[in-house]
Amino acid sequence: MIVILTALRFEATPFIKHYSLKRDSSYKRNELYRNNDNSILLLVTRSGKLPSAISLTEFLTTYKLTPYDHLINVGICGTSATDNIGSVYLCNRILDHDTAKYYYPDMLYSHNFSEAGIETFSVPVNESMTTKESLVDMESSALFVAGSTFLSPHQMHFLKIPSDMLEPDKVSKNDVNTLILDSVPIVTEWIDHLVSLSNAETSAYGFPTSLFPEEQKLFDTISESLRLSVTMKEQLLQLFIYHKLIHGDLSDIDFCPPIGNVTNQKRKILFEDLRQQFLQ
Amino acid sequence: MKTCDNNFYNKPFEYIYVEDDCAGYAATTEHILSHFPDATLIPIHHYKDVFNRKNQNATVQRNSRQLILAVCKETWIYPGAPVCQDFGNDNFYYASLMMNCIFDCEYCYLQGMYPSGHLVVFVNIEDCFASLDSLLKEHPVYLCISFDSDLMAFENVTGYIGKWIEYCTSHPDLTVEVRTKSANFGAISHLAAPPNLILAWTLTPDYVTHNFEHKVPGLDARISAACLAIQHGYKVRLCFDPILHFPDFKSVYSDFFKYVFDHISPHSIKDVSFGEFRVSCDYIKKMRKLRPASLVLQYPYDTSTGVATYDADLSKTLTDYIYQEISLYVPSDKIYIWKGDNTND
Repeated sequence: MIVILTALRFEATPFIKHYSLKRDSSYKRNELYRNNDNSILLLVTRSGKLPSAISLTEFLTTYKLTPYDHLINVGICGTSATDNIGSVYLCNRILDHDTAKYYYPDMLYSHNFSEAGIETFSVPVNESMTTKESLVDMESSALFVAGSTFLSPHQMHFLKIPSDMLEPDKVSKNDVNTLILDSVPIVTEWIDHLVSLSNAETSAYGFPTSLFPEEQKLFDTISESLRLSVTMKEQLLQLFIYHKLIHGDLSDIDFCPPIGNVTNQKRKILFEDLRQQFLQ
Repeated sequence: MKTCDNNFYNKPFEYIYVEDDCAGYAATTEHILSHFPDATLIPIHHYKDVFNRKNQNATVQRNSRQLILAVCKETWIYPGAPVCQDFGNDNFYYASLMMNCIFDCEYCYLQGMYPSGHLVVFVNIEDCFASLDSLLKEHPVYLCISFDSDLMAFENVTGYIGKWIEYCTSHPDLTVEVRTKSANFGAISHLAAPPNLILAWTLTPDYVTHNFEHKVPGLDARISAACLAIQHGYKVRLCFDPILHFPDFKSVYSDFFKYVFDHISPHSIKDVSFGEFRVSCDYIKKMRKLRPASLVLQYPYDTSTGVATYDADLSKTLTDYIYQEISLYVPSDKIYIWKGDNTND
């Protein structure tokens, strides 16, 4: 699953159209859009550090992402260099202006974007302010910090399109729309690669270490009838996982609950017998 | 941008994070960077800002490992851990000049020890030598320098083993062990072998290499490198570690030892060691999470002593069998067994 994050609705519009995303009306506090197979979602986080962090946190507590899912923050930003305007940048480091702390998204995936560092401010940045990085915005560091609670640094990507030379008041909605629209082909080509990779890796590495309902039932039956301790339950779970890895399932495991009282000594013997059966 | 999903990952070391303080060690830093002329350099304040980030997924990072150049400002020399073989040496220490290894072995404890799959190289190796100078004034030192990495595999980039060879030559009270699975002996073959440096090759049967070791030279390549080192006068140790239990382990290990000692004369080696799989319980929890489909990690090990290893019966079966097999080729006073109490049989 790929989740596109934009601060503003009009930054989102070109991607909503491109991927034919539909509004999820059950998601109330922010605008959330999704495509038919749920491989691409788009969340409008609102602008600013706190609102965007809150929106992302709410989303990530609602949707449990896997290690093969990705967040992509796409949006306009300011720049200190004229020739940056209109290009798409993948940010390789993020400076939080208020705390002077740097954050580093993992740069694992190939791309055709330019790269730069970005500095996140709590207020709109104008020419009178000093910046340390060539790009500036109002969300990146907050999204990275909020996302890091739930996700790995390889799952968060920051694509920024400079719209102004630290003169945010001079940028119109139309300017933004044009810049984003121009970036859609290159951005969506990259997103499509990430979708393919995410799907391939989920099926290749997503071995379920949790138990299916019938396996859970067997686990509970064994645990209760043998009155297993917490440690023994952990050992039993590991036996389940190992046996499933070797044989694919647990269909050959034969367990008959013992009749009568299970003494500690008997429990130990029965558990060892069971262990040997799982290791076959 | 590549179009094939399998190649969507960046090549290794396309990004190099360089600590600001590396500027004070320009010669080593520039030497390392010269091997990666196309890399994107990202300045960082402290290596932990990248290496110790929260929630890193080392399994995914191994698809595109990056390099971090740093200055070690903390301890260089650590006392040897109980899970490591001391070969009967007093004053057993190890040093970390690099963190993480370019190879990718499923059973490797580094996955549980480090929060990241990326590699750190400390550029101030001279400070390590200075620490060691102080320690050597107190007593002789037995030092393993390639536990938390594989220095030989990275020798073309760092040249660190070459520096250790030079240091060993002028410090006879020091004995250094360089543990490796690399076939890269050629990187140091031009250097004269000091008597107090041991090159220790970890050898594993093809079954283990094929199933659990990724991007690692095969057995033949490692044997060839070890033979070449012997020819060049180096002291060579063979480490059969970890010994793993799997179906037909007896015939696999029996054939393996025969093959190894058919190619490497037992008389030409310093000694051998072996030890069953063992990893601290804290580490194996992390390792299992990172590799949910790994047979070697998901095996239900005995964890009652705080170390995940085979249960006592299986451990004895494995140890006795491996010892018996190695004894067919190597005299018993040259065989070291890791038993948890570091005894030599």
